[in-house]
Amino acid sequence: MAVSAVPTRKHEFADAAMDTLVNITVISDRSRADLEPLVRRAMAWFDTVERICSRFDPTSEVMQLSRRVGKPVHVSTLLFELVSLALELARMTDGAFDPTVGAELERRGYSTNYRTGEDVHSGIEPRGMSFRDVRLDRARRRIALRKPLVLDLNSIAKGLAIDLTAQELAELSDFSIEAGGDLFARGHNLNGEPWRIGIQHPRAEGLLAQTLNVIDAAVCTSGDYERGQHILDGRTHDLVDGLASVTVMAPTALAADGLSTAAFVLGRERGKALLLDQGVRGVFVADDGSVESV
Amino acid sequence: MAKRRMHRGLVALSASAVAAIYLAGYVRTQPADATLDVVEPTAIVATVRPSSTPQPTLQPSVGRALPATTPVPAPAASAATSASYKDGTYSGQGSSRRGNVWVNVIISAGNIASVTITRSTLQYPVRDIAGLPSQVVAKQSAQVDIVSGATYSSQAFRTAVSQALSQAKA
Repeated sequence: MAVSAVPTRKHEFADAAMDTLVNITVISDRSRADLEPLVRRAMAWFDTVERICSRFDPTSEVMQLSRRVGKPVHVSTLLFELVSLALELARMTDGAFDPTVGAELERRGYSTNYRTGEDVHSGIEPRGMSFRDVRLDRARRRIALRKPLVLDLNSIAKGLAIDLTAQELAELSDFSIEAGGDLFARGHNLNGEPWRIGIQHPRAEGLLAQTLNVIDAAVCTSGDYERGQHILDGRTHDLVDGLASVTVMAPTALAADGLSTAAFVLGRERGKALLLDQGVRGVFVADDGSVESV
Repeated sequence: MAKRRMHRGLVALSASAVAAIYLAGYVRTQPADATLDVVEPTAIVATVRPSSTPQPTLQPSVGRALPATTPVPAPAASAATSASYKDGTYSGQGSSRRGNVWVNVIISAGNIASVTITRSTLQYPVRDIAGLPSQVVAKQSAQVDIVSGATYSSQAFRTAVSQALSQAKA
């Protein structure tokens, strides 16, 4: 069956992390036993990202930070870079995407730790804060909060975890990483073709809004409340409506994740403009089920 | 210094961020401020978790022992490839927490010729999704490697179609 020099075996690995299931598929002629330590090490990035960035864990670095107001705090590279990217996205969207909506999400009840079932509340009033109240000192890797606030990095943390996992798997030429509907695919699938990625239609069970051929790219989707997500407009703190989902294909999952969330908040027209400006492809599904690609 | 916005694209910024974090490695990625009371793993490989949270185990394969709250990805792997079906008209039904859906699948010359939603009690009325079943025909039972989407998904439609198709295979 196997043709020499052509890797023909497909190995699938799965793990639960960050409130979802992480699936890694490796196309390789290496054995499963040979691959397993590498894949396990790669998947550990999800735990690392979650431990540092989880809003649902009072001991996470980001939740520790929320109580340190007015004083620059030296933080991990991971937290610094992720917050830095979130703030850049906030500036790009004039605050439509705003990572400081954490306390408002808590107020709305999105505060349950999925591992323990416990409610995690910071006790911070969700009023009067914005991304402008977060100051970065890149040279010293410090973050200073000007007001008590809760950073919600959940919308981009999964993308980051996917990218770090992909970095760890860099020695492999063909693999895919999927976590809760966000994914990165490298190289080719088992048939030696580009990975075939279907975009779930958010308004029709089991149907695809579109399929994409993907080589070395990430595909991330942000969806509405009906899809079990809760994305707030940073300017109004209201739940966003108008779109059912936005999917973005980009070189990194971090960018795809962030841009899909931002485009979702901005709505169809401004969201399309954002994706065009950033040079990425996207698929918008409106509330009425209509599909549009950019 | 003039206050000028550096217009670097988010893609470039994200790539730099990922590289910086990866190169910093597990150890230096740990919370740096000693006064922050964060669990500090001592091992290089950061598989250490706070003791209050269980360490998930690596499962041998997809589709087995999934946590109940975890959405299951579309069954791309299990979907028949271009396996030809027996010609005829088949019906199937699927349920989800949003309601039920009934479909008719017509097989012609071994392929899915049409999928029609005959009845639906899904939260989204039939008229909203009526234009969509043709896409099932185009993709011939989801020949995709992975599905992207905010997964939470009731699987009513998928179940209905696969129920119909299972009869067509018999």
